[in-house]
Parts: sequence; structure tokens; C-alpha cells
Amino acid sequence: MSSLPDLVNFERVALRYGRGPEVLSDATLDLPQGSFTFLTGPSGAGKSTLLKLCYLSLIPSRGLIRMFGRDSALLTNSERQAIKRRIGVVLQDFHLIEHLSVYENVALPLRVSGQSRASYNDDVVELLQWVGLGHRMQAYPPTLSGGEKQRCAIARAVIAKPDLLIADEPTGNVDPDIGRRLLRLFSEMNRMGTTILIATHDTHLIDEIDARVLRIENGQVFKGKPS
Amino acid sequence: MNSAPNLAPPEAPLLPGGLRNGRALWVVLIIMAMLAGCALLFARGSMRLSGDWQSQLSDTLTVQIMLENSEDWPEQTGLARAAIVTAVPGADIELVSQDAAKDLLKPWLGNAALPDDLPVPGLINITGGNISAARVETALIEAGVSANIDDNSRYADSLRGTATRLVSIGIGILALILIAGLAVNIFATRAGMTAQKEIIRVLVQVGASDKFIAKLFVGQALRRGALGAAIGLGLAAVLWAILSITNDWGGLGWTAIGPGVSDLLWLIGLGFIFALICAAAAGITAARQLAYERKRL
Repeated sequence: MSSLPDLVNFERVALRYGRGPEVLSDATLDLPQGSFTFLTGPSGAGKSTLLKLCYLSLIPSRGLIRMFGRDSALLTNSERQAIKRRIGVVLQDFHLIEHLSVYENVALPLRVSGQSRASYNDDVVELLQWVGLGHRMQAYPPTLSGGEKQRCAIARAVIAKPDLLIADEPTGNVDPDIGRRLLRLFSEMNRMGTTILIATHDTHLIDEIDARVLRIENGQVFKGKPS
Repeated sequence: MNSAPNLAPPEAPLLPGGLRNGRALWVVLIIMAMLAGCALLFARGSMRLSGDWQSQLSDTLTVQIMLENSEDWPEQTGLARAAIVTAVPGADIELVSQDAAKDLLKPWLGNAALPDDLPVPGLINITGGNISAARVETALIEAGVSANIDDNSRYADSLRGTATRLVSIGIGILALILIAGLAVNIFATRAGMTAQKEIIRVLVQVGASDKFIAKLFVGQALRRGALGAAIGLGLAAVLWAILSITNDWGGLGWTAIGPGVSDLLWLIGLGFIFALICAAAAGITAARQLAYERKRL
């Protein structure tokens, strides 16, 4: 058991959209600092919803969420944005900006944080080459394949060396070789201290590395792989 | 470690923009800027024309010498002229001949020949110099000349009132156009934020603050406003100049672009105000919209 403090802590968290049923109910979990966690569960179980709560894109209907030791309900706008800058997110539908090149999409978190292009150019180019997009740097998202878009989204999520990386099915659209390469990137980042939370259906991916596994069933979070 | 080659394309704006986007909005802004420019030039032209006329009127006095009979005309006008020369030494004094004075009565009495013994008033026009109606009146009384002095104050007051109304109308129209510009930009920013919802979502996700996002819309609106103002106000200046050259405005002496560069400086100032209004509307709207979206979260 890690002695490091929890980066994310959910206590009896529930969420419902509008007046619909609760997607999550009494979800309790923790992500210790430096941990590598897979989140699994059947489709529609609430994995994406739980991730959105983790990256502060949703506010819970009830319960307590602590991010980096702070009660998320008490965060000011600037504190919320400061925490978001410490989180890298890879979403299933990539959310790339279509009129920006691959290079600019990846550099976006650094540009938003006020860094100059000269200060980040080497890092962006190196990372793009590492994820196999060095030759597509000047391409625009509409011209990319699904796998290329996914690698671009992953590169954008990790470029600012976040403390917490949240990924929703990050290897869903890439071939096995690239998938293993991306998993190696996540492992390497985890070894360097980044806390990783990956939602996936892919049991092979879960078997690839020794990591914690959480599963969602009936709106609640349990430890361990599905039986 | 060697620096990676800079193969990246030039930095693109985070919000898609440019002339190709929102052509209708560009046309609206250009027309509004042009109308604002015309209203400003109208107000400035009215002010200038009123000033010219008032200055001309305040430089002129007309003395009407009242005669008992027509034979007194040479003596009385001579006395009056001598008294006026003494009272206002630098002024230009013009004695209107008896025939010319009779001609002035024709609009009222018709073209029939007037009787020779009709005591037509003697007329003296005084122009320029440091004219004082009171000094002229005193001098005429001392010379024993019975006269009325018309210093045009009635016309000047009336003219001043008309000019003030015209300038007020121009300024009122200008203010209304600027308010409409503000409203158009509020609407355009809201529409822009809806259209760029996905981009805003990504920016928020990568940690952009509300201020950062609002600044993007401010920059876009400022560029749009400045270019719209430059084109619209340029068109207004050209249009006004053409109207001024091709029309004599009923001989009113209307000039569109004032002497020197004063009107152009006013137009440039209006352009700055127009662009600032566009930017302020975008900034306030974006900040409020982002705060509203955050509350809805």
C-alpha cells in the first residue's frame, strides 16, 4: 500500500443527469499519488462519467470529491483551472481543434499556460516523433486517421507533463504495436511520478502491466477485475 | 541535445477568423461605421457652417436713416456717414444709393415707379472692424440723425438655435449607431461562442482561464471592429467629399471635409472608439457567457 497521499478521492459520490436515474451512486475510490489504475466495466456503466468527475468537467449530485487534497466543491474558478492544468485528458472522441495543425494541437496546453513557442518547440517535435506523428506535424485533424487522431490527443495530454493523466479507451483506435508503444509511454510517465487512470474494455491491455484495477458495476466502484 | 528542426507551421489564431468568416457581420459593421462617419461629418459640418454664418453676421451692421422727406437724403446720410467713420474707424462703410434702396422695396411695393417725394430710408452697411452697435447709435444721436440699427442679433440667435438642433441630431444619430454597434457585437460574440463551443471546451480542458478565452474573442472583435471602421469611415469620407464637391447645397456653403485635417482626425478617433466598443462588447459578453456556462455545469 502506498504511503503517498491520494491525488483523487471520491466519497459516496453520486451523479445523475437532469432528472434521470443516478449513473453513479455511492462511488468511493482513491487514486494514490504515483499509482497506475485501470478502470473497467461494461458499456454504459458510468466509466466516462466517473472520468469527467475526475477532470472536473462535471459536478457531483452529492458526495465529496477531493482533488490534490482540495474539496472540489470549494474551488474558485482560478483554482479549478490551475488544477485542470495539472491533469492531462485523452477522450474517446479526441476533441482536437480542426483548424489547428497537429503540432499546434499538441502544443495547446503549453500555449495556454503562456509559454513561448521557442521554449516548447523541441519538446513538441520530440514527442510527436515519439508517438509516430513526426511526419504529420503540419497536417490538420480532418486529414488524420482515427489512430493518428488518438496519438495526437495523447501527445496533447502528456506534453505538459501532468501530475494526473486520465485516458478514456486510449488504445481503442490504434494497432497493437502502437498500442503497446503508448502503454510504454504511460508506464514511463508513471515511473516518472505521473498518476495514471485509464478507462478501458481491453483486458489484454490490463494484463500487459501490473496495475491496480477498479471496476464499475451498478453505479458503484469495486476493486479488482471483473469476475 | 540538438534543437529539433522547426518544421511547424506558423502559429495560427486559436479561434478561426478572417474575412471569409461571417461576411454578413462584416457588411453590417462596415455600413454602421459608414453611417457613424456620416453622422459625425454632418454634425461637424453643421457646427462649422453655423460658426461661419454667425461670424459673418456679427461682423455686419445695417443703419436705417429715417427721413422726413426725400430731399433730406444727402444731408442726413452725409451726417450719419461722418458720425459712423468717427465711431468705428477701421470699418468698411458702404452707403447704399437712393435708387438701390428703392429697389429693395420692390418685393413689397411692386415694380411700379415710386413717387420721387417718397422718403425712402437711407441705408448704410458697416462691415468688419471692431463694430459696436451701441457706439454707432451714440454717435448718430450726437449727430442728430434719427436711425434704426440692425445688428442681425435676431438672425444670429435663430441661426444658433437651428445649428444647435442640427448638431444635436447628428450627435444623437451617432450615439444610436454606436449603441447599435454594441448590440450587434454582443449578438455576434454570443453566436461566435456557440459556434466555437467545441474549441472553448478543449481550451477549458487544457486549463485556459475565462480571461484567456475572453481575450481571444476580444482580439477577434477588435480586429473586426478596426478593419470595419477603417473601411466604413473611409467610405463615409469619400462619400461626403463627393457630395460636397458635386452639390452646392443650395448655395449654403456646405463643406464636407473641413479645412486642414481636423475632420480626418475626428474620423480616426471615431474609428478607435468603434473598435473599442466592438472589443468591449465581446469581452464583457464572453466573460458573462463563460461565467453562466460554469454555473450551469
